[in-house]
Amino acid sequence: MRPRRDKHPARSARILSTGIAVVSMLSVSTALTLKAQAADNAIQPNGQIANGETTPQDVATQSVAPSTPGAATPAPTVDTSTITTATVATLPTAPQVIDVPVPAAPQGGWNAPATSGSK
Amino acid sequence: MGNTADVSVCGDPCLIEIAQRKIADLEHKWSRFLESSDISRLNNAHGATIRVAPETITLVQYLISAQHITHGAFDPTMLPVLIDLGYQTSFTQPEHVSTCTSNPNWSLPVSSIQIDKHANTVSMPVGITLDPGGLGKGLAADIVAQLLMSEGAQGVCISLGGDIRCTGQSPSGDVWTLPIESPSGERQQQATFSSGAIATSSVRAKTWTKQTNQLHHVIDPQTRQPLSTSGLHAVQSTAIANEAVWAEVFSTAVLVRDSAIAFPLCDAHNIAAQITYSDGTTFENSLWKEFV
Repeated sequence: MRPRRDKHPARSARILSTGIAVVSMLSVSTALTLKAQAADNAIQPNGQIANGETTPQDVATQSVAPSTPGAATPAPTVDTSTITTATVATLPTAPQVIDVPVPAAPQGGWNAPATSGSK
Repeated sequence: MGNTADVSVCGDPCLIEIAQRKIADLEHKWSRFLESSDISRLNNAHGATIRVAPETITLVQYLISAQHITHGAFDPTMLPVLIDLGYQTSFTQPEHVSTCTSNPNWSLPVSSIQIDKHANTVSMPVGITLDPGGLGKGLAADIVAQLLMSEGAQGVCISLGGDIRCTGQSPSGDVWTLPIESPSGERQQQATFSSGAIATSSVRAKTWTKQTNQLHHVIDPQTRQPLSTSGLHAVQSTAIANEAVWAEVFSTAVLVRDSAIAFPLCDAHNIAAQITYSDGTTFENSLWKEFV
């Protein structure tokens, strides 16, 4: 027994074509927006973008004014005054043993370079 | 640069190749041992205006700024002294030789070097020469680190001959922890920070013998001689800063000027510093304990 069609084939085709039209319109709209942005961001002869933004490559190829010396960012410290002591409840029964799969340890750890006067 | 480069990147492995290319590129532009480098062309320009790469403009600006900020403790014009003392040939590539054709004129300040940032040109008066030295390595580490982060790296650690710049996420996902080698090569201390740089200078590195005298490459700009290594003397200094270029500049300044003069300078710029003497004693400024 053949299944009964819920919709007339022509009706489905109409819905489909409407969907394609909407998608096409959105695509055209997006393309126009991108084109407008490209015009605004016209690349200058020196490689810098007109609105002041630079491409990642430009960061390393333009001369930059010297920075000022300053401190490194220290590692965050733990404020021990905010740590509260938890109450440990007495276990009423013997603990159950559960097998938890543990991923294998990395084969090679990172060897940090050392600073030395070797240069 | 006559040293080993150690590049660690959290991110796309292809970023390593970008780092290698950039380090090689900066080496070709900044090495005083390469005849075609921007620095060699400037040192042999006899006062002519030379067009250089934008990165070299940045480098020259830093060299001038570093001398100013350290009140002359860091002096980039000591190349004629080094050549006269015998450090003319690269330690790692003996076929590469520094050239410096004009006689030095020590009365000329580095501020007399003229830079045109728009035309990318530099004019150095006859009698001035530049040696990027350790500052070049530190700045190269900073530039490569910045480049890799802009290319999508999550974290970067660049070490160029012990001048180290770390930024972003570390491989452990936590802070950056880096060993500090003592003058005898032991790793008894570790520096820890979220982002920053560390550099070490030593009178026991890059040494050579001239007429039975053992010499080293750290020159006192006041005497224009290598720092004294007789009696109780400073052997090594380490500085921790926001960028490798400044860590390098201040580690040199501490070694050259000693702690009494250099530590207040470091304090004024929030640089952590330590100095080690020939008897093994060490002294640190107040910021040191925040990182070590």
